Amino acid sequence: MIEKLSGTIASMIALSLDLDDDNKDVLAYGAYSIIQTLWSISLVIILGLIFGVLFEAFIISFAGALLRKYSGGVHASSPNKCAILGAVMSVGQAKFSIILGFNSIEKLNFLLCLTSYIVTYYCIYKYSPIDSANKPIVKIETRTRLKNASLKVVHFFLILTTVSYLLFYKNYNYQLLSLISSVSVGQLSQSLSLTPLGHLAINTLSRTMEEIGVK
Amino acid sequence: MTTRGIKALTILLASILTFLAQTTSASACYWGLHQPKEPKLLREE
Repeated sequence: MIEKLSGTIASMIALSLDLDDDNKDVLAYGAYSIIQTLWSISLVIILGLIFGVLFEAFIISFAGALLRKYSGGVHASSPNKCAILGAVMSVGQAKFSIILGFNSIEKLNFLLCLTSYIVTYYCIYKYSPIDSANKPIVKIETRTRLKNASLKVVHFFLILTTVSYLLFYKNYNYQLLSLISSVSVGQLSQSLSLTPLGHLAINTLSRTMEEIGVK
Repeated sequence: MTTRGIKALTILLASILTFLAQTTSASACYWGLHQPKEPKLLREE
């Protein structure tokens, strides 16, 4: 449905501006990216509100997506599976974080944070960037650029985490611990999706969704 | 809205979508777990 909608939008614009098929494909690609992004974010917001973890789920999703932009990763086979899987994973991870005490117990929060950064830096050095059949990365310069950009994103998260810890110890606002654990979980789950085991997990989930009728 | 206004809006929309397409193409992925096939003009070959 998203592909049809983006195709229709692109066709209407191409007809109006008398563009060729190649340019129409570019417009469809751009339309697809914005529609798919909005659909994914909407699902995270809806499920986040239902389960009472909107803030945490959104931050997990945002942190994962920002890192994913440069590191790549495994893909679901359709936009619907992608949006549903992403939303369910974000909300599920948010709920587990709260239940396990990562958002409220300082020592656990720090342990999660430390583990997350060690694993993330390792996975990015070893696996990033991951391309796909639909978007292969051919040039070595592009690979290097994306790997460096992935590292810069993690450096940014590290600075954000450090500042959040300093602010937390100044006024003990537990929302900051939620922010730190959500960023840690988001980048950890994204970096694990770069690994062969992550690929296997997502592909298995994607196939299971297909079997239960999600297209 | 006049025809000129509609044309201007169409051009603006086309520019935004092209920018989004190029930004997506310049990165490894974007928000989400699905990657559609890249258009010919944006492929790195």
